[in-house]
Amino acid sequence: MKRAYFLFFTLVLMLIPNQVMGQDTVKIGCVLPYTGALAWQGQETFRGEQIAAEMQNKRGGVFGKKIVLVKGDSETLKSAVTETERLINEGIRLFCGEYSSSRAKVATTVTEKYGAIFCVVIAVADDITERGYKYVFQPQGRATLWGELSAEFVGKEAAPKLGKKPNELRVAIAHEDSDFGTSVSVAFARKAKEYQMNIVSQEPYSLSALDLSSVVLRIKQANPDVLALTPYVRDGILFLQQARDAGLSPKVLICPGGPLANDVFAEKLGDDMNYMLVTTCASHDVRKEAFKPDAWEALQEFADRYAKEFKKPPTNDAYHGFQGAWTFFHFGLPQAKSLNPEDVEKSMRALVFKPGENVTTFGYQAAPQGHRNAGANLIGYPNVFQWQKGSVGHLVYPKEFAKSQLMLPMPAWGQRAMK
Amino acid sequence: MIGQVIINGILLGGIYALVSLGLTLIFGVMRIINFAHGQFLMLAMYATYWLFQLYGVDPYISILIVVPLMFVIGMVAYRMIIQPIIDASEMTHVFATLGLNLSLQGIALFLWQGDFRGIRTSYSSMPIHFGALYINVPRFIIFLCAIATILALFLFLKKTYTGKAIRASAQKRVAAQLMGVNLSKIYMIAFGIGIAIVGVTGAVLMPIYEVFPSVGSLFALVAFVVVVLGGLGNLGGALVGGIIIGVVESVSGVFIAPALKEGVYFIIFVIILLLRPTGIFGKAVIH
Repeated sequence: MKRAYFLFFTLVLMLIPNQVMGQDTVKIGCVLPYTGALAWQGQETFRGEQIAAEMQNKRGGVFGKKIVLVKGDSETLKSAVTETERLINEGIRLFCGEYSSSRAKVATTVTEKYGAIFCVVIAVADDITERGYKYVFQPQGRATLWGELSAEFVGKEAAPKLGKKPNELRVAIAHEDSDFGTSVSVAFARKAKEYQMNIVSQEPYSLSALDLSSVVLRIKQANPDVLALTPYVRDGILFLQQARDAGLSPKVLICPGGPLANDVFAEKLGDDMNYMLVTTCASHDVRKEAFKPDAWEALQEFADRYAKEFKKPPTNDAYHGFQGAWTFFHFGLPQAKSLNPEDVEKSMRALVFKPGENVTTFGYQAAPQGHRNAGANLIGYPNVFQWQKGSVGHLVYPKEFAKSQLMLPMPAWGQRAMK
Repeated sequence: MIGQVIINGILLGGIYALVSLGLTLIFGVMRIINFAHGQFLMLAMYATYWLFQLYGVDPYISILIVVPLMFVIGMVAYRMIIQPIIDASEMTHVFATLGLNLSLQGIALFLWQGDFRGIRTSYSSMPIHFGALYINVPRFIIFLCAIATILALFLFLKKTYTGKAIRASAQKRVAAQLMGVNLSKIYMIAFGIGIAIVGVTGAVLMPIYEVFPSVGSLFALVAFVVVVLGGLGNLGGALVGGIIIGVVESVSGVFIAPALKEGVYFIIFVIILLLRPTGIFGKAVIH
C-alpha cells in the first residue's frame, strides 16, 4: 500500500507543471530560430527578450518570481513544432518569441491546442492571428499595417519630394516569397492602388535563391520611380549588389519590412545604402518628449544594457524582441490576476496604450475575440527609417516622433555619400 | 537583354560548377556522396573571412592559405570519419557524412554565432561594361577559376604518379592494390584534394556572398543537381551541368517568372535524367 501511495504521489508531482509548484521562477518559452538560415535574426531577437527579462527581474520580476527564459530552436518548421511541444511537456504555458511568420504559425498551433499563451514578438504575417485563436498575441503589429503604412508614406511624403502626385508614380514590388514577404507586399500593393499608384512590376522570388539578376532585370525593364523591396538579409544584400551591377536605381527604395535595417548591409554596400528607407517598429532616434518618462527610461536602459554587453548599438531585431517582450513581461504578466493562461489572456486583451506610453512609437490595443485578427495589435503602425551617413538609425516618419529629415530623391549608385 | 541574361546564366553556371567539382571528384574516386560538402564550403568561407578581417588578406590571395588548410582538414576528416566506414554500406556513408554535416554546422554556430559576415573589396562593386552589357568582376573570376581548376585537375590526374594512382583506384580498387597502390593513402589524398577545391570555391565566393553557419546548405542542393546532371564523377560534366542549370535559371527567371526558375531547372533536370539516367556525360572521365 505504501508503495502504491509513493508511486501515486510521484506521478502527481511529475504531472504538475514546474511553474505552479511554488518555485521562485516563471519559465517563459522562447521559440526562435537559433540555428539555420535565420539564426542571426533569432539570436538578436532573443538578446532583446533576455534584456527585457533582466530589466523586469530587476524591478521585482512577476509576482515576486524571477523570469527565466527557456530556449526552443525553430530552425525548421518541423522543429518549431517539436520544440514547442517539448517546452509544453516541460510544463511551460507562457511563450514569447518567433521571428519567422511561417514558424510562428505552426508553433502557435501547438500552444493554442494546449491553452498556452504565445506572445509573437516579430513575425508579422496577418494569418498568424487570422485563425480565431484565443491565446495568441501580436503586439508589434502585423503585415497589413506595415505594408499599408509604407505605401501611405510613399503617397504622402515621398511623392511630393519627387515633384509628383501619387497617381503619377511608377511602383515596382519585389519580395521573398515566404509568408512574411508576401503578406507585407500584398498589403503594400493594396494601399498603393488606393493611392492610384501605377504598379508596373510585382516580382516574388525564392528566399534561398543564389542569384537574383533575373528579378533585377525584370524590374529594370519596368523603369520604376519607386521600388518596394521586402527581402530577408542574405537575399537583400544579393539583390542590391546585383541591382548596382545592372544600374537599377529608382528614386525611392523602401523596404516595407524590417530586414534592410541590418548593419551588415552597410558593411557590404557602404555609402550606397544612404537614402534607402526601411519600415520597422524599432524605437531609436526618437524624440524624448514624445514618450512618457518611465517608458523613455526603459528604452534607454535597454539601449545601454545592449551596448554594454554586445559592444554595439542594439540591432533592429533586438529592439523588436525587447519591445514585444517588455509589453508581455512588464505589463501583460504583472497585471494578470495570476500566471494562469486564462488570466494572462484577459490581461493582454485589457491593455491599452497610446503612442509613447509604452516603449514603442505606436500604441497597443489587442483585437478582441471574434475579431478577424483576434490578438493582433490594432494600432501597431510601424515607423519609417532612412539610411543616412552610413547608419539606418534615422527616424523620418511619423513626424511627431522623428528627429531626422527625409532626404529624397535617391541619387544613382556611387553618388550617395553624405557628409 | 537576352545577351545579358545569357551572360548572367553562364557566370552563375561557373559558380555552380566550381561548387560541384570537389563533390564529383570524391564520388568518382571512392563512391561516397559527401553530404558534408556544403559545410566544408562554409569552413572555407569562414577561413577567408577571418584572414581578411584579422590580417587584411585579399580573398584571392587567401587561396594560397585556405587551399592547403582545407586539404589538411579534408585528409583529417577522411582519416577520422570516412576511412573507418569506407567498406560499409552506402547507408552508413550517408549517415556518417550527414552527421559530419550537422556537427560542422553546430561547431560554426558555437564559434561564430549566427551572424552574417561579409567582406567588402574594391572590386565587389566593379562591373565591366561592354555597351549595354555588363560583367560582374568577382563572378567572372569565379568562372575562370572553375575552368582553371578543371584543367589543373585533368593535368594532375593524367600526368602525375599520384593522379594515375587515383584514377587506377577509381577504376578497379583491387587491381590498383595488387599493382602496389596504397589505397587508404590515395583515398585520403583524393578526399583532401576534393576538400581543397572547396577551399578555392570558398575563397572566391566571399567577395559576393556572406558566410553564416548554414550557408553551405544553400549551395549543397544545387551542387548535387549539377553533379548528377553532368554525370557522377565527371569533372567536365560538372562544368557543363553547372552552365546548363545557370543559363536555364537565368532565362526562365527573366522570361517566365523569378519564382518559377528553380522549378523550371528541376523539370529540365528530370527530363535529361529520363533520357540519360547516368547524366549527360554518363561514364566518368576519372575512369
